[in-house]
Amino acid sequence: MRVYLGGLALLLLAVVLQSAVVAQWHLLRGTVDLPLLVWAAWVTRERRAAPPWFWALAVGAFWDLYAALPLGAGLLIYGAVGGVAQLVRGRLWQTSYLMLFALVLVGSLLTQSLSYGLVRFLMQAPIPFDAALTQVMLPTLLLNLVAALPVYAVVAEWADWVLPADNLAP
Amino acid sequence: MTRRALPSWLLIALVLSGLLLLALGGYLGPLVRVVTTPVVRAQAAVVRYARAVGDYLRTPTDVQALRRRNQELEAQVAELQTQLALLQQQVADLELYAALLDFARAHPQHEYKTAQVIGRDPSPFLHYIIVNVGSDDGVRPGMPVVSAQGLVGQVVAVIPRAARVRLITDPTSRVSVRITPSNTEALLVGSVTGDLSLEMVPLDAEVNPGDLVVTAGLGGEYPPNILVGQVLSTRRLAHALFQEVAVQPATAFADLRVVLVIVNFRPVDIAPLVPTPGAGGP
Repeated sequence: MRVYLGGLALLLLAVVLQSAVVAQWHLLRGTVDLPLLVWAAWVTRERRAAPPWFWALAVGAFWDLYAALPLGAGLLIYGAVGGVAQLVRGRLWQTSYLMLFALVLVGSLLTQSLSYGLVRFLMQAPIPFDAALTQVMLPTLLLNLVAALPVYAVVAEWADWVLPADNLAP
Repeated sequence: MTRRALPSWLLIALVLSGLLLLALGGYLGPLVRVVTTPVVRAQAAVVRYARAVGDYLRTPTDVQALRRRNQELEAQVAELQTQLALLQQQVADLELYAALLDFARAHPQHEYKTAQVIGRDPSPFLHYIIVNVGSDDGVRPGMPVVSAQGLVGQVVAVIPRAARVRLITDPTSRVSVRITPSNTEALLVGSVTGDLSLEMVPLDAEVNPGDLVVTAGLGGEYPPNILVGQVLSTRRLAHALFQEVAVQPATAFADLRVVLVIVNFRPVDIAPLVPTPGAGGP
């Protein structure tokens, strides 16, 4: 129970911080995707209680509370990221940092692409793809890769405090 | 024959008088210098060493007292810095609210609800803010939102204690505006970068940088005559049907902290009046 409460509280805090603070910090129009980074760090650190897709769906549900995208978009976007993490789980799982960066890289590309698709085609926002790529997607990807390790350090401290020893990654 | 010796006191008095007269006359100066210089130096050295010893003996208590005093002063500085930061924040808030009050006085036809910006949309593709007033405060979807500088956006979703506001910089935002002084009507659109531009500006319209852009009130979504921004640049392309006009927004969207919701404005839904393909006409 403590693992679930600790993980869900952490992911909710990440979404709150994203909306309240991080969303104001821009590189061009890209911002750090803190919920994605926290999720990636958490599933890299926590490997026993629940699969990655479970935590990804939790992020998506929290994200849906704040985002102007249609309800369920967060579940779809982060659920897809969780699904990919589930697929690569057996291949990269043994190396924490490789796993972390793989999740951040693939997760960033997937969340940004799906977000763009939903905004462009579901909300009918006339956003040219080149503008989305250069102004939002690539800056976001860069910021996510830069911020991945610092976020991992903080999340690892939290995980050490919350998780039983047998749940922690070596 | 015996001589009477002078009394010794008289002899001493004479000698002293002589010395006094010599001193007054300035004849003993070199002698005094020779005698007193070593004495003064010796005394200065003694005092210096005595003070050093005294300081050494007093040092432990002084250090403790200084440390204690330093801690007191550091605590005092920290407290004063906190007070200063709070006061600066209050001054900034006061200026902000004064500006909002000025805006409300300049537009007395509207009723306002003050709201704090408590969040932004987590998706970088969208330009929305979340404010801390909702349906419990009388806020409804469609109500316009302004700042002290001008138009901010429109309420699009409401829960009891919060509301989501679409900014005019959002890529899905469309606002019917009027350019003054030419009174040209146009459509203000946002973009993913947050830049504003005008669409449907005829090629022959006289639009110049610096012209004001205000809401037109057409379409029923916003009240008229709310400042939106200024024309930044114009461009006429030979093959195009309309001018390209960039607009500098009056509101600083990156620094939005407090906004006003116009609560006595009800948007008009003109969708039923828009002709649809296949609908029968007279």
